[in-house]
Formats: sequence, C-alpha cells, structure tokens
Amino acid sequence: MLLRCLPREEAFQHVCNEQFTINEEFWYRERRDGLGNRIIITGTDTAHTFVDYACSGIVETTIYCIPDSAPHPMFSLPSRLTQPSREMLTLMPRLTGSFLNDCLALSHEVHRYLAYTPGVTHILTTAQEAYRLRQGVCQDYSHLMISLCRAVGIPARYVCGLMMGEGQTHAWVEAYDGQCWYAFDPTNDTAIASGYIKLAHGRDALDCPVSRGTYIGITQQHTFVNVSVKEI
Amino acid sequence: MATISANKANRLFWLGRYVQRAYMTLHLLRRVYDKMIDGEPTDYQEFWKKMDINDNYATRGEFTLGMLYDEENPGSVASSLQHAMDNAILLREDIKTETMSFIEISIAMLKKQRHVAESNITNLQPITDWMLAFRGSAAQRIEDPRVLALLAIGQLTEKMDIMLRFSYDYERIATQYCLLKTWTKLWPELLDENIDRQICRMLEPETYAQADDNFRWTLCKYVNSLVMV
Amino acid sequence: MGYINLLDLIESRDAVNKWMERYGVRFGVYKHGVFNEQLFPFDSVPRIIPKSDWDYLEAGLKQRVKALNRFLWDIYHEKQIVKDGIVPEEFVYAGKGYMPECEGVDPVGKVYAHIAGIDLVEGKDGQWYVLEDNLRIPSGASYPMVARELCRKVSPQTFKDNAVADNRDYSDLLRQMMNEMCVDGGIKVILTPGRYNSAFFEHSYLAEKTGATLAYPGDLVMEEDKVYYIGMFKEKVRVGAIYRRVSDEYMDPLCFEAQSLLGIPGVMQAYKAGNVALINAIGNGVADDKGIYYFVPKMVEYYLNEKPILQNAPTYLPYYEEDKDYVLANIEKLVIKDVSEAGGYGVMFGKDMDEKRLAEMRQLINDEPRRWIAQEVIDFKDLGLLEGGEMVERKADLRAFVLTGKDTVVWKSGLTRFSRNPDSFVVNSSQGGGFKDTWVMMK
Repeated sequence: MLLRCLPREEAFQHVCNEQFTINEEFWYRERRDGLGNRIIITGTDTAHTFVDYACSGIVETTIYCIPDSAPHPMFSLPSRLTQPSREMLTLMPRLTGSFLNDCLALSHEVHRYLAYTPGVTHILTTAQEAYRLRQGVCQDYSHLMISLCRAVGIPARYVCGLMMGEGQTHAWVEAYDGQCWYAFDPTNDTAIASGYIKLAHGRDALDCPVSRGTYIGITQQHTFVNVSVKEI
Repeated sequence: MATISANKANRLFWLGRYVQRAYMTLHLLRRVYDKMIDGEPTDYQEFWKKMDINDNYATRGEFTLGMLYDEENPGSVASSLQHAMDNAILLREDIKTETMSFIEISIAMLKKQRHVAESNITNLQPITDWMLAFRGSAAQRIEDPRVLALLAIGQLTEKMDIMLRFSYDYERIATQYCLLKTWTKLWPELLDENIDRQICRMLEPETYAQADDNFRWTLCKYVNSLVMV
Repeated sequence: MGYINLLDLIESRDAVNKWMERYGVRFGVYKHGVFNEQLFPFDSVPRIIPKSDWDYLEAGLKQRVKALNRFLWDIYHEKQIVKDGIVPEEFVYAGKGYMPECEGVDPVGKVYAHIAGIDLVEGKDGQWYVLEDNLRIPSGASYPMVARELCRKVSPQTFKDNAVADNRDYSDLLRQMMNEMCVDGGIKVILTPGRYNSAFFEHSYLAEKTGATLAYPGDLVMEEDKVYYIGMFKEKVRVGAIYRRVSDEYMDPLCFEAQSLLGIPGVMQAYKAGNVALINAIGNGVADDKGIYYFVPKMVEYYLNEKPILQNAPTYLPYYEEDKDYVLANIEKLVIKDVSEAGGYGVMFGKDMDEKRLAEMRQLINDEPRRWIAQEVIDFKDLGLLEGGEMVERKADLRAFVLTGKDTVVWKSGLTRFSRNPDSFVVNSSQGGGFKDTWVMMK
C-alpha cells in the first residue's frame, strides 16, 4: 500500500510531533515519490480484514508561498487530466498581465462556471469532461483552472491537502509567478493565505492519490476517510 | 538451484498427471479392444463407467472416436494431451523445448487422425511412443531433481488413480505407492500426513479389498488428495 | 563476397517450418477479442548483410544507443539538453512516456535501454535509414535464434560453405548483461504478463536459453525495499534483476495504472533504492516517442560530440513552422505518423488519401502540430522470398538488437520482417507478415 497522508515540508509549513500508526502486522517505510511528496510504503503477507492507519501532528504555518528558482517544465504542459479543449478556452477571462489579478480572475471564472455537485464526477474525470458537465467537486475545479493557467503560460500544479474543520481531503491549485508558487482555491473562489495544510502536489490528481493499494483475496472493499484540522 | 513457485509446482504435478493419463488411456483402450475381439460388443461400457465419464456413447464406433478425439470428454486422449500442453507451455524453461515437443507432435498427430476419423488405435502407436519419449527426455534434460520429482509425483498419483479404478491387484498398487514415497522424500511437507496414514492403513495386503468398489473408491479419493500442490 | 548458393536451404523451408511447429515457435494474435496462437511464417531466403555494411551499421547502432542512454539519464536528472534548447520541452515532458516517478532515479550503471530494438530499412540506393527506436520492450530476437538453429540442422552444408556469424549467442549476450546489472547476487528473472501475451513464446524461450527464472504476475513481491520470488513453501528468494516484458504503466499499481494485476506492487521503491535492476528501465518511453526520433541525430552530436553515423529517414516536425509549411504543401507524397500510436498503427500514406481525407489531415496537422510527424517515403530495397514455389519481391525491414550492460554490443543478426502484401510498406508482425533469418557475413 502507498499512502500520501503526510504533509510536505514546505517553506510555509513545518510539521512537528508527527505520529503515524498502522496495524501492527504491517511493515512500513517513509519515502519520497518522484515529485518529492512524502509517502509511506507499507504491506504485510499475513491475512487481515482491515487496515487502520492514522497520522496526527501539529503543523506550523506562515503565509502560503513557496519559493522555487527552477520549476519543473511539466507544470507548464498539459497532462492527462488537464488537456485543454478549444471550447474550454472560451472561458478565458480578459487578462491584465498582473499575476495575482489574472489568477484570481481565472479562479473566479472557473468558480462561476462550475456548479459544486458531489457524485457526478470521479477520480479519472478530465477537465474537458467536467467542462462539458458544468459540474464537479474540488478536483474538477482545480483541473479546469490548471488547464486555463497552463494555456496562458502560467505554470500551475495540483495540490491535495487539508482545510480547517472536519471532513475529507481538499484540492486546490498552485500557480507560479516567476519566483514563487502561490495557492488559489477555485472551489471557494479565493486566494489562499493560510489555514490550508498541503499534503502533495503533481501535474493533476493522478499524481497525488492519498492511498493506493492491492490485496490478494475476494472481498468487498470499503474505504473510510476522516480528516480533522483545528487551530491551536 | 532456482526456487520453484507454488504455481510452478502445481503445473509440474499436473503435467505429470496428464501425460500419464494420455499414456494410460491409450494403453487401457488397447486392452478393451483386445477383450472385445472375443467378448461382448458392449464391453466398452464398463470402461467409461470406471473412468467416471458421463457421456454415454451409443455405439462402439462413437466410443472409440469419443475416447480418442473428443475434447469435451475429459477422459479422452485429446483432452489429456491438451491439458498436458496447457501446463507444459508454462514450463518451457524447466522441462526444455525438446521435451515439450513430444506433446506438440502428439497433438498435431491426433488432430490429423481426427480429421480422417482414424479408429484403428494401433495407428496411434507413435503417441504412446512419444509419451514414453517425453519421460526419457525429461529425465535426460531436466537439471533440477526437484522438477523431475514433481513430474514423477504427478505421474505416479495419476497411475495409482487409474489402477484403482481398474481394480489392479495389491502388488501393483503398493509398488506405485512405494515409488511415490521415494520421490516425496525430498519434501515430506508435500504430503498430507493424515491422508498418508489412511492410505498406509488401507494398503496392507490383508486390508486391501481389490473387489470392493467402495473400498477402492475411498482409497482413490485419498490418493487424489495426498499431494498438496 | 563470393557467390552464395542458397538452393539447399531454400528447398528445406518446409522442413524448417515443421521443426518450428514441433518446437512450438508461435506468435499470439488477438482477433475480434479472441486469442489465437499462430506459427510465425518463416521464409528460408535469408537477408544477407555484407561485412562492410555490417561494420557501418554496428558502429552507428552503438553510437545511437549510447546517445539515447545519455539522453534518458539527462532527462531524468539535469535536463541539460532541454535547457540548451536542443529538444523542446513539450516533446519530453508532455508525452505519455515521461514518468515523473523516475525523476532523479539512478539505475544500475546509469543504463536505461539495456535492450534496444532499432528498426532500419535499406533504400534502393543501398543507404540504410533508421525508422524507429524501440527502447521499452522490443521483441523478436528469439525467432531468428530458433530459425538459425533449425536451418543449420536441415542444411549444414550451406553454413559450411558460407562464413555466417553465429547468432545463437544472443542468450549469452543477454545473460552476461543481466549478470552485470544484477544487484546483491540476487536471482535473475524474466517477468512475463503471461501465456496470453503475443510474445509469450519468446519470454519462455529466452528464460530457457539464459537460465533465468520465468516469473508470472504474483510470483514476485516487494517487501521493505527489496523484491523477492516466492517459493512453493512461501520461502522468499531475493531478486537482483528483472528483465520485464510488462509495460511501464502496468509495472507498479501503486505508482502507475492502479488496476494493473500484471506488475509488482511497490517495485518502484525497490528500484529507486537501487535494490533491483529493471531491464529495461522504467520511463524509456520518453526517448522512443515518434516525435523524439527526429532529435536523435542531434543527441549524438550533443552528448557524444560525434557526427551521427546512421541516418534518419528524412523527417519533418509540423511543430516547426517551416516544416509545417513543407508538410502541408507536400502531404500527398509523405507518410504521416501519429506520435501517440505504436506498432504500425497510426501510419498513413498521403498517396492513399483522397482530396477530402487530405484536407482533413491538413486540418488535423494545423490543430495539433505536436501530434504528427511526416516523413519522405523511402523506396525500400525489396527482398526476395518464396511464395507458392515462386520467387517474389516484398518490402522488409530489419530490427537490430543492441544490448547495453557494462558495454554496448550489437547482436550480429536481427529480425527481418516482411510484408506479405505486395503493396504494403508496413511490416509489423502484429499486422500479419513473416520473418527471415538475418545473416551477418564474417568475410
């Protein structure tokens, strides 16, 4: 099993008192994936009926900004789930050349265009499909915004992480201004200053699933996720 | 020596069984034909009852063609060879291309003979020869004694199974069992201990009831669950 | 080279094909969703490569594969060739073959393409051209190996009379390369997707001939950064090198296709930790893309500082305006290839298109210039083969196999595939056709 449930070390966030637990018969190792995200690789060869893992800790955050002198070229190019279509580009707002204003305008356009509807899209839904459906969840909002950013030459990447409160994981967008990555949340139509914990980033959602696993046996599988973030 | 995976062990065991089954089926068919020369024309029915085959062939002619070529009949030579091939094809690097080729050419010959509906079993003698050549080639070419052992364990298991169905006498069966135990010495853990004890108990000269169908049927069942692959 | 008498060999074609049947030399084909194993038709007239031609090809192939290995290392590390503007980044980082998971990974000996299958054709003028580099899981070496074994059996005199380099050493070359790559004295395995893979015969035959263990999905597990082969009593045996015939996206369901049952969950971690060699490396698709092909001669100059010995077929990238103009103006005499397709699919000849289709094609090229390449149609030299007792001429290509371990070596033979359709230029074996032995002359 591969888990992406640990917060990245970033300039704006620092993790302390981190604790990870999993069924005792599972071995595990902490590693990095190809994008530098922290991952846990774990497994067992003994029979089991469930896997229960938990990660807890304190994350100190400052203003959301990630300096980067040489962003990877892949964040400037279309990816599997963010390939733009010609119709999609009609969404493009009038851009001013001011990074912050343009990103906010793109975020706003996506937010205005899509209706937040859980259950109509799935993990493999592309930006083009979400565009046609005019519906989706945070993942689809982010993909659509990433497509538009990259189409106008703004490097952009997908982020999976946590927001204040109880519930599920969230997704948002990081865009690059030439020096730093800044975060935008098109689902909530806002620029992100603080209050978000970043787990992983990638070209699109395919690069950062929270968990992936295989098992041998025939069974019904259910996954339950619970996220709780409080300010201290 | 390379490690043998559970799947590979299973395939070797069944390859041994199917090659033996093809060989034994031809052998027993020749015997039943010989019997029919001066016996009853319906003697063949006895045969498929013993082999546990559900198909009821109406005539002797249908029986012959069915036992040789009918792939739907799990007791036919064609079906045994095909199953042998299905296992062999996944074992090329262990048993070697030349050893596999004896199954290839047997299948090719059987297909040709089916095409002309050859019913004289004597003309299938090359297949019997090739099944023997398969064993010779295996013994010559296989470098890993464990691979050879698994094939032999399969062969002997099948041989005991068929001999019990056809009421062979005590000595013949006890010899096969003794041989089987020699090969499994490499891995005592391959045998189900309880079943092994049951077989030992039943395979005593005074307990072995050659004429008792139920007794042989029970023993046959034990033989089939003795090896755990 | 003196006169070569092939009569005896030609007459023994049926004998060779019979032996192939006996040895189960087959090739799997899916037709309408049903798997069928067919004999791979063998033509006994060999392709003969004179020593002088071979010396040229050998030097050129080594050079090309060395450059490709350097390119792969660079792409997943410093990316200097992109920074220097030799290869545009969209040809590298937006393709399906690029795997971010391989960023910064150091494969054993810095080798990515251990086994490269380079497809070449010989023009009517005697000039050789590279058509394609196959750096993922090229197949086909086993067929000429078996064919030679059988030809020598049925026509020994032919080989007594001619100094043909023995090609049955492919298994030795492969074994040696695997030994050189193998980590911590682990076992060497060939990982096959299984019996219903079109090249299954080859997987099992190469396992037999190299002495490697043939592993099926489920036979291998990754635990704590190491890969093990599981024995019949659950014992674990350390694996040092995996010659895998499973494609990248199916190799690790934790990193790539989540639904894959063909791979080894977590194998990427063992690979990244340097605890197992993957042959070929993961991520090679980025270098054998039809678009990247255009840049290979430039890579030779860039990395090796040498003039490229082998030539590409004249190729145009509509990505460059100048090339696009040429392609749009000359489309009816060019061959157009879809960069995202493989195996002879997505190849279209301008001369076969009507006006409507040509117009559509022009539009497609205008819309997505990055998706297409165009090439001049090469007038291949035809090879003679026997059909119904008569000699006929057919198109044929040559797949040369280049192996890289500590050194780069070229196998003195190759797979010559021919098209059975007299008008067809497509010789891919997944689209019908047969094969010939390839003779490299020693004198």
